[in-house]
Amino acid sequence: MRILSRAEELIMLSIWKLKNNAYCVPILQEAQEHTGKVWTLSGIHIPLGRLEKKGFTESYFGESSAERGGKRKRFYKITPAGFKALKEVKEVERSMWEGLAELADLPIEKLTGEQK
Amino acid sequence: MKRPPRFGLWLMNSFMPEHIGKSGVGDYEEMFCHIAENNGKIRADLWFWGQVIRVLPVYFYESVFWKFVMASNYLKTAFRNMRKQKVFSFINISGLAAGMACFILIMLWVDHELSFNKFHENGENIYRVLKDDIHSPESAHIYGKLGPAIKEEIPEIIEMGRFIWRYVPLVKYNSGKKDAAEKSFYEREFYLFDPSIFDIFTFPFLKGDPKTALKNGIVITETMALKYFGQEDPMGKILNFDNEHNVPVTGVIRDIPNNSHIRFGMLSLLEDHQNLINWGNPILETYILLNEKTDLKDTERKIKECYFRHNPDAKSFLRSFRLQPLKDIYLNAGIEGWYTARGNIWHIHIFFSTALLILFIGCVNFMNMNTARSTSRAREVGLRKVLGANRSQLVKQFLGESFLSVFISFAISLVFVILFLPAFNNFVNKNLVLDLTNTRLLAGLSAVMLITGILAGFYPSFYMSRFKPVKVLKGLFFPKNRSGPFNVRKALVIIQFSISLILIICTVVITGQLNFLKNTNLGFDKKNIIYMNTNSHIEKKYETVKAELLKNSDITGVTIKDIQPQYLVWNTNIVWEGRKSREPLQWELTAVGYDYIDLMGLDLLEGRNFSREISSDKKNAFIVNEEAVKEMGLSSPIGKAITVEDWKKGVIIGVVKNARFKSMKSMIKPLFLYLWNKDFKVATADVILVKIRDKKFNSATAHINDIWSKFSPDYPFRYSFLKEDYENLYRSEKYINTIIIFFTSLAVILSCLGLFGLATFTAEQRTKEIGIRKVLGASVFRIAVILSGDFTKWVVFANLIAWPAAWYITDKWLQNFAYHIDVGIWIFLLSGSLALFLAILTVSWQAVRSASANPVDSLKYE
Repeated sequence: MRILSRAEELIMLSIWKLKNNAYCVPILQEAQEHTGKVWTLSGIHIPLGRLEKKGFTESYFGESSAERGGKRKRFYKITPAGFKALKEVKEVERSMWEGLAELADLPIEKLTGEQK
Repeated sequence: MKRPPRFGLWLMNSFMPEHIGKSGVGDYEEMFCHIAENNGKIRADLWFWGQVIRVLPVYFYESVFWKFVMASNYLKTAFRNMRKQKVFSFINISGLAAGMACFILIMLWVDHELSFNKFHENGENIYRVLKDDIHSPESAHIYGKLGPAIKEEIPEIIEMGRFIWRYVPLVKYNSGKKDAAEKSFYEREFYLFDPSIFDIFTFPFLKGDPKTALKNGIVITETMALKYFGQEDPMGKILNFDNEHNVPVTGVIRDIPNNSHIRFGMLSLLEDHQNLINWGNPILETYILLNEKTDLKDTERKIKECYFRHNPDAKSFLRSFRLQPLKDIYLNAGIEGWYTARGNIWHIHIFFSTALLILFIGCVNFMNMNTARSTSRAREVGLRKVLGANRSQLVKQFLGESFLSVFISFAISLVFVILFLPAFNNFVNKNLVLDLTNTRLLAGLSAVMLITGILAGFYPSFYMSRFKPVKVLKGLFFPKNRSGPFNVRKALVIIQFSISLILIICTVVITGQLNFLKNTNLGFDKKNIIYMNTNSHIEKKYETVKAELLKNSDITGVTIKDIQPQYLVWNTNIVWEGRKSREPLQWELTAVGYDYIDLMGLDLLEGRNFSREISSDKKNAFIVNEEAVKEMGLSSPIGKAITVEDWKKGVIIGVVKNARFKSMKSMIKPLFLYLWNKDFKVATADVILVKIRDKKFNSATAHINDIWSKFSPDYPFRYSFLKEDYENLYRSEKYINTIIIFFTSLAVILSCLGLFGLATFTAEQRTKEIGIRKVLGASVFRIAVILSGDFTKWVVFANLIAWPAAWYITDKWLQNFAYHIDVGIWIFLLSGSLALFLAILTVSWQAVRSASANPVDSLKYE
């Protein structure tokens, strides 16, 4: 099983956070809010597609609205396999950051100095 | 509600990948609305387009890429399949190619026929005047004075023009230069025109003024100018007519295109010949240019009224006048008139139907073969479905394969067309071209390809895409039962054979009718007779010339007639003794020499021939035919007095048996013969007829040439064969016959080919069954019978459909002829047996082959 990419992980976390309102537009807003970078819809659609293929997420259709030109909303939720993948990522991060987590708060000059 | 830019939205919708789907587009729309609300429409639009630009290239490429991958797979499969079953593919493609080639050739011809007279600018408003009276069928020969009268009295008629074919003059040009020979020709395309014709029709003048040219001289066409004057300017040069008149050339007209029903070479002014313009003799063609919004029926009525105003007596025989639109003239050339080219709407019907039928048979073959072969592809279909193909994808695949075959056939058919076009042109006497730059033609060809592809491909595609994977992959797949009452394959074969049968029957009938026409005893002897146009010198010394000619033992008869033998143009008004009413009739009258009846071999039934001994014969004798006696209702015609119009009186001295001088399409009319008299000539197109002893042609013509040059040295000796002229009457019927024979054979071959393919395939299907039967003791013959039994039943059934249809069609066609054969039952039996024989031959060859197979091999399949 390969590890989730950054984008995939962030998207899955947004889905988790949004609970019943997890469709593409709020997911994008969440991601933008938390990362501070600009995300595009296609940057959401394509990873979501991959996630579905891998079976980490499931989707179901919701109501349509005039705003959306009559098209229905597609809501996502995480599957057990998805949760497993997320946990795995969390574990990898924890183990990778072991011994480094405390240092993350120091200013950058101190960090570069330390390495010598 | 603000919506994103329509075009951008459409792009999004079209290229969004499937796994994102419409919902994804909805996401974009939602965001668009948010931005529009917060930052205004313009920023929203910009954002949307930005998204489109960012996203589209990738999505587009992906969709195209995959489509391309799929397409190349389909292509590979298609070619592999074709290679695996070479024989079937060959039959399929060549059958279709042949059908398409025929179709294209015929459509080129039909297109040309339909294009006649379209080049005239005022074409929509040009009409020809036709008259209908109780004595003759509708005719375009009109009284000369009618034209000017209706132009004056009917305001809706903007312009009026008349013309007539004059005769065959001898035209000479002597340039006066020392080393230039004199050019002299007998011109057969010499017409008399009203100058107003050029205001109606589009015959552009290259030199000279259309309004005045005819009044001052002769107008000729480009080719004529080239013929007489070479590269020199023809204007003003003098042409000599009949060694008598010298006339200058005052105009040159561009050559008349092929698709015109009248084509002329030289023109002179009609008004110069007042003897042709009167109220009594209908001989001119009259055309009018009508105001656009005119009511046709109204004008026709006015024309009739105008005619009656000038001819109150005519009310008893003239029924009506009709205005025939220009576009209807060529195809209805059965109506009497001065045509150069005659078309026939029937020919178009026949050819077009035949072309369609052949194409149809080709398509049916294709369909049948493909569905029959379907079991060999069943596993492929099953596998594809397992791998995720849905029905519509499979349909697209198979349809694509059909289109591929059709396209290949199409390419081959174009090659056929190019190869056969010269021969075809030669045959139908036209100059057709496959002009690939003509957009209409391209559109037509593409339509043919498209329709054929869909027609031939849709049924097999739908049939094959229906297979259920489980059944197929388990080997439980069997083709639909062959013995059901309703079976598409069976229906297709029956249709094919019905069509072929109809074609065979029609061919037999047409050939029969043509033979009938050729061989019917016309009632006179046309062998060994030649005729030539006379001239003033010959006519002045006719008796001497005749005596001189007869001195040669190879010449057995000489006589004279006022116009070519097959023309009996002088319809005129005849009154006889004991006639009750005074209404004028339109019967046939012609002046002939003393020996005419003997030379032509006519049968004298009553009375006597013209006699030199009886001097009163010269002015007073009439010989009539049986039909005349019948129409006049005279029980003892000899001695009865006859008055012709106002210029001849006489008595009947003899009655001849009916002879057919015109084509079989018209009924025999009453005929009056009187003696030709050089002092009293009504016509000027006289011909001398000479009968030559069998096989002595060359010596006889040499002798005639001598005498001719002696008496009329400045008139070259030219002659025509009577027999040829009569054979030419049916020329178009002859080539139709050949074409129909060719196409029928093609259709039959295609049908048999299809049957062959089907039989081969079914035999393959039943190898096991055959093996078992053989093991159980069946003979080769018995097995062959079993295998072919089904097919022969179908062919017999096809007869039931074909016979009534063929009877109806041939009956209608034969009605065209006043005299025709009867369609007997033997024709149907013969055609049916022929078809059955061919079918059995085709099928049994295959049946015997598989029946003779070694059962060991076939049963080894387990």
